[in-house]
Amino acid sequence: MRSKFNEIKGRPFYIFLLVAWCVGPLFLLLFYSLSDINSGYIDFKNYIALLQDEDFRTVMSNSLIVSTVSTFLSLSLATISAYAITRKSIRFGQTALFLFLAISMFPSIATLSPLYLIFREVGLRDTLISLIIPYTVFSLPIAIWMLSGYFKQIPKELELSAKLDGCSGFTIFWKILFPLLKSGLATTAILVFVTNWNEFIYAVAFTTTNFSRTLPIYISKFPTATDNVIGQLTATSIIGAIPLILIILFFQKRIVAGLTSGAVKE
Amino acid sequence: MNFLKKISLTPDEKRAALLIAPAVILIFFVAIIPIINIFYLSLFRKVLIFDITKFIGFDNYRHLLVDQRFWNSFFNNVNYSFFSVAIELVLGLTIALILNQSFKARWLIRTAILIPWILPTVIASKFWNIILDPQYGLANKILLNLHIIDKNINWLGDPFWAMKCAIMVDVWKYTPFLSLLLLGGLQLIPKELYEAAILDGTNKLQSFKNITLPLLMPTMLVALLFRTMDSFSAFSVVYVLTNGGPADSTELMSLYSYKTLFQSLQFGYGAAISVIIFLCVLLISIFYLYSFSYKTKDVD
Amino acid sequence: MHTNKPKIIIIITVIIIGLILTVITAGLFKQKTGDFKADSKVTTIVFAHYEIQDSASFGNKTDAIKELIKKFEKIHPDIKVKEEILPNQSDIQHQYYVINLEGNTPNIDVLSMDVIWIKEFAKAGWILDLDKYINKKDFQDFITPLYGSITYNNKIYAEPWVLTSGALFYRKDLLEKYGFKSPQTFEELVNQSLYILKKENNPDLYGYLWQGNEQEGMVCNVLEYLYSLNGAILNADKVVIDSPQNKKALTFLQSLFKSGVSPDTVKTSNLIVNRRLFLQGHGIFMRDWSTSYKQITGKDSPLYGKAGMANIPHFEGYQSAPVLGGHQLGINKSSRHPKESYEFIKFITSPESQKFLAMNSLFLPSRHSVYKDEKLVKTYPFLKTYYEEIIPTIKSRPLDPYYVMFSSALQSEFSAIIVGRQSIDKSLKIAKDQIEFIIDSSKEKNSRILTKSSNHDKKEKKEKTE
Repeated sequence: MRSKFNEIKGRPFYIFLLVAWCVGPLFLLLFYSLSDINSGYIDFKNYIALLQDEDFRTVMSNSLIVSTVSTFLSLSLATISAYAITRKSIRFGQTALFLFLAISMFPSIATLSPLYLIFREVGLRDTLISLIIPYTVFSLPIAIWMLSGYFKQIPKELELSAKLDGCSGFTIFWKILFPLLKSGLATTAILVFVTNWNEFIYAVAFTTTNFSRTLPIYISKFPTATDNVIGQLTATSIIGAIPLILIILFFQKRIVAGLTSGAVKE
Repeated sequence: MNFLKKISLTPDEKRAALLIAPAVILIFFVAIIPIINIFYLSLFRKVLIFDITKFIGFDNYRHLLVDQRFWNSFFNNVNYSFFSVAIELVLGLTIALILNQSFKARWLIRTAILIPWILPTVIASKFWNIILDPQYGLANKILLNLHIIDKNINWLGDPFWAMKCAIMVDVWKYTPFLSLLLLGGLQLIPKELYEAAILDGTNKLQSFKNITLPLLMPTMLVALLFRTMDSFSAFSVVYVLTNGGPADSTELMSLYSYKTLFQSLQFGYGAAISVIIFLCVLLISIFYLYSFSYKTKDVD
Repeated sequence: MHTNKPKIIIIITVIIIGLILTVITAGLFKQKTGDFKADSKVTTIVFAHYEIQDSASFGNKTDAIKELIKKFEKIHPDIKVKEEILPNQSDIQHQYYVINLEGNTPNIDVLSMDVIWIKEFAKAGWILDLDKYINKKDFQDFITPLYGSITYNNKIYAEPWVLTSGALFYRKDLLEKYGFKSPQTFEELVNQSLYILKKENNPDLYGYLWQGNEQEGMVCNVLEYLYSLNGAILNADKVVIDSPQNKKALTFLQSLFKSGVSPDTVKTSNLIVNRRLFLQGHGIFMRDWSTSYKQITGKDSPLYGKAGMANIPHFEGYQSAPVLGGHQLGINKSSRHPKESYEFIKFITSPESQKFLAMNSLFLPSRHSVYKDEKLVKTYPFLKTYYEEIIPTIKSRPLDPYYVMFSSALQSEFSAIIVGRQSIDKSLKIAKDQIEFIIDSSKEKNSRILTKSSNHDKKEKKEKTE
């Protein structure tokens, strides 16, 4: 029975406000990108110019490559680490988890200058790998934390019975644990991917030209005070946001579940 | 090395250690070593343009104590974190309460809520840059039309308004996200508790105080912890929105550190500022973890 | 509706794509040259420069630099030039260069540098000295005020390109309405502003717009007052920023707000905001850079026929002191194609290119011969006045590799004075302390406790063996 407690008057109105708050800016950006300030018609010229722009294509592919590769590497390492921490009966599991969590709290600016110096010495600045490495490493803690949570949800009996049946460690992992883990992996992958796509401070310090530049930096370079550029800027923002919006549309239930379960995991 | 020999690892543990090793090694080299390096660097005067590298002990920190610009950035950080987290908490909780029940088109709400969080902060900052433009931005146009103001306000160029705008961008981006986290926590509270409270005759406010708040505390603290730490190391909002703002009014510590490092190439001093940021974040997490264990003892 | 299968397929596809990309990027990891195509017959050089066009308010459809690049590539079919456009603000441009040049990037070849950075970059070892490339005879054609900023240790590190100086723009129509001529002195400017403001009685009209925002541009503004009173920052090695002339100039600056000549918005405004206001008719006077002349007084400007450009005024009894600015071209020391880079520099600083740029973009030439070009002077008659009367009065900011660091302190303290947050005496004292600290630090001897040899070391060794 619905308790009186939960009835709040005018709820639909508040929800409308909320949706407007969240989505309004996106629509405004769309509006700015489509309208030619002078003519007032809907005009796709910004998008056409954008898709023909070689620099933009390079930048988008950079972002895609960096995010995908770092997510992939991070998850691979995180899976085996999370497996080790949760499946094996070890004494230092919980400590290890907390230590990993501590790493995730490092502010990026703190590790920025030493990494800058190192990459400079090794000559890796303005390459994609100079971004892939820090992204992988700094998404490891979150990935390990979340995957540990998912691993813990899989009952240990499954493993034991498989062992009794004579399966080796790797088969157990692949045939039994992995299928049950797919959901958790997907959620973790999405969160890591989004975090890496939006990362800013390392990209600013380590990239020089569009050769390795990622999308957030490319967008930040637009001046906003000149009117002619607003169309390009907003069009770039919209196209740059499309992959992310697609991710939300397909995976929103998953993402929400992942975020909320992660918070409660204490 | 002796104590290691005394601790004998079971074969299982040995295998586990092997599996964790790659992650640990990577983290060690890419995260731990730079942090140690930063502490080490902060003890030097390392000015790359002058080509000086000189050990000066804690001189950098002594200089920090009297550096007005540093204290300005420190208080900017406190200001920024405090207000943005506080506003996000209040608004987020309100939204979570409103959303706390099943209704149609949940997917629409979920999608909408995730959008501010998933958009790169850069896009949000640029967006607000456009809207807050003193001459052509929508904000002034709307406010002028509604006769709320009589003259264009220079939002991002006025030291009074700039920081408030930066906080607003942060609030816009993270309130929905926070409300999601809190909603998750709310949904864990058994409905029976509320029903029992109504039978007991308690009103909304009391049941909120006695049931909701305490049971939500763990979730709230975790969410607050991450948000506070995040906002203390905030960088891209102010970098893109105002680049430190009119007269350094929106310069956060991370931005000051970045400028010191890469504008005047003072790697020693910049390292010292980074160390302070790191310690602040550490203190914040310790504070939260402490109150967390303290509060959760109470709940029973 | 729990169809997890299609979603799982999507995820697996993404992972497979990820694997493929990992393999592909393995080839991209070590690619550090500016060669965006694998074609080894064509050398690609990257030309980093600031946005010379400002097409938004200019209206001219020609992208002058792109046209010149096309011309260059026709003459040199084995060289391709890629542009890297710098951010708009001087300080952010500087940050960009610092991060990347200190990072030994090979991905910038030719760079346009503000006059105040050249000595700094030269000292830091980031740019090549051009002595072995330049044509000494050709160099006589360049305008003298620039010589000071492009040399370091008696070697030339940049080839002059754009010349600019502080300039005063004024509303010819408003001044004529009240029988005024463009003000020669600051006192005249104040009087004219107050008179016109009173008579016009227009709340949307401002008197004197200039840059108060905490940036390098503001320092230029302020220095024009200081220099006019014969004040200075340095006198040989002594820091004289707290001199009485400087205090007098700064008091005058503060009085501009008190008397209402300059509105409060000026305290935090920048070039772009001011230009917009002025072009919309909201200002009587505006201090800007001389390269804005087309934007403000040219055919496409909304103020065409109504606006004029004059030299920065001076204090009664003293001389005008517009500050020198402009970008000059150098070569990154880590560039892999210095020869090709110089070919491009030679081309784009040539008299023909400078003439083309002057006709088609916001550019003022740095060559004597171009100012004497008949066609150019016919199209833009004021260039004659600029060349003969204004250029001789141009003054440089301190020609010191550490100027950028001084400027940091100056920006902070001048801004405090302008905003009214701090007294003039206190601000100048803080500025003096900071500048003296910088100078003292620069004299410290190196003590190499860190074993890794720095950037500078390696380059010095290289120079010795060459």
